[in-house]
Amino acid sequence: MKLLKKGAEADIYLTEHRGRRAILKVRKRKPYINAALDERIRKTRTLREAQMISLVKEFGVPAPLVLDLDITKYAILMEYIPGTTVGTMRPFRLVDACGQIGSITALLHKNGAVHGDITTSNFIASRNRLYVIDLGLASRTQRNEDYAVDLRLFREILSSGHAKSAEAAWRSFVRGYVSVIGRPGYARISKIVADIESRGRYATVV
Amino acid sequence: MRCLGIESTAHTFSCAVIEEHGRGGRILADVRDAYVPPAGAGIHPREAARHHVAASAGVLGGCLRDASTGIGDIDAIAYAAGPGLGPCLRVGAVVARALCSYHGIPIYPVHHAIGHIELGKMLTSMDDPLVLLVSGGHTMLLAFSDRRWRVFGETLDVTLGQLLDQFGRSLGLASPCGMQIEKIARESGKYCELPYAVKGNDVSFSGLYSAAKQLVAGGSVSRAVACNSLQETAFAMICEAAERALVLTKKRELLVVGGVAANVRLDSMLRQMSRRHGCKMASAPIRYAGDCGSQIAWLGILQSRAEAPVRLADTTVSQSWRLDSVDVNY
Repeated sequence: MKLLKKGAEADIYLTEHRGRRAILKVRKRKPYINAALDERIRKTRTLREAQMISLVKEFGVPAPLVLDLDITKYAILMEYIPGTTVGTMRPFRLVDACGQIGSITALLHKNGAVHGDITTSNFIASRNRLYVIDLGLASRTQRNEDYAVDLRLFREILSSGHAKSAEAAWRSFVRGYVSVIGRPGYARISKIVADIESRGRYATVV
Repeated sequence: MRCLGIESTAHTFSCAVIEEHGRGGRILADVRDAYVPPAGAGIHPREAARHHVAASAGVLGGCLRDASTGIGDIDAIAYAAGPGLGPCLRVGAVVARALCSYHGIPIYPVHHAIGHIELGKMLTSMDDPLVLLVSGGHTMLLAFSDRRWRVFGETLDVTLGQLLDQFGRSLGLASPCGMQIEKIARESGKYCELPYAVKGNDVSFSGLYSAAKQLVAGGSVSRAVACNSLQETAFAMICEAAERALVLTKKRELLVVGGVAANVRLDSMLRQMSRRHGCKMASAPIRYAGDCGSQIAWLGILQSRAEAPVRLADTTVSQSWRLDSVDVNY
């Protein structure tokens, strides 16, 4: 078993399952977080992630197969997806992929789900498809406000993490999103994004 | 080069003199006088501004005396032009304008929060950090790229400082409440479940605030348990948002600045989190974590290296001034 990545909330290992490569995602105890709170977070997110990974496939969103779940160890064993994350792509391909992220996000929303952590690192381009990963913050919801938070987060990540191609990437994302949700649906949600931003600090000019 | 910095964005009126020292600076003096609201109340902008007017002459005089500097030895004056409380900001701006026009000194309006960041960087000798800015005015995760401080996460509603202050006031404490809440929290190790809201790299404290207040109003738990639960939940949220931003940006340094950086529990959580990722972590020294003239004076020096002084007619203030809208030229 080889440690691939020390993520923010879990350690990602490359391992084997029935002769094939597999990913083991373990949410380890964080000694600096209150023990009861830490346990609650690790448990709900592990369960949530396993459920949501299976659920989104019903919407036609590519995601890794869940091979095993061990809640006593806060661990999920899943299919290994070879490929590159959108975040590491060159600007030209990144802008293109953001369109696909847009349509995947819209598919989730259309089916009453949010990803909760839409960043360019959470999509892997593989076999000509885009796979969504990291669904620990995902949830089922019918609230437009929750959909708006997804959009806001993605725009924040583009303008901070991909400053130079942010505008083109955002336009591409919106095109993909609108292609699934439609103009009126997008207009409704983007109005809520503006509402959320106006609640933030120093957002409005007094 | 010696720069006088004037800070007056919220409760603190402060003047400081910093002397350029190679690429860094040496703080010659930093004098403050803070407005203290009555117990259970927050900052009243008009009352705070009155306090600043009354305190300004004494603070300025004391600062120049401590720095053994005459006003004639000052090469530039910087003042906090925002963001902050309008009436308070105006006091600092008026003092700066008066000194500059009478003595013919170049004037620089600076962004208060960027002052926190730059002073923290200078005092901790960090080079390219992920910055966690936690204060009454801001709760943001920032990294520098392409001439601007970019936001990698922030609060969607109230700031961490506001959360602590408002909760503290509901207990009858006087703002700023962070230190008092930390002290009360230490009396209990018990934790009561409260809403935890991390949305990607962003956090939301409003639900936590309401629930914590209800917890106390319900009377079923002691003040100590409520304070401890509030702190543990809020700090865990900040810690997770910071951890996510750290992994995303791949930065090797984490710098914590702003008034809440003085909190010992938060500092220890962030320190352990950083160690897990092999990342260097430092908080601004307690004396310079909160609002002070030094953050303004130091940013004034940095800006004077790259920019011409501003005409007196353009020395305005702005209550709302987004940090990520400021072009950084130095």
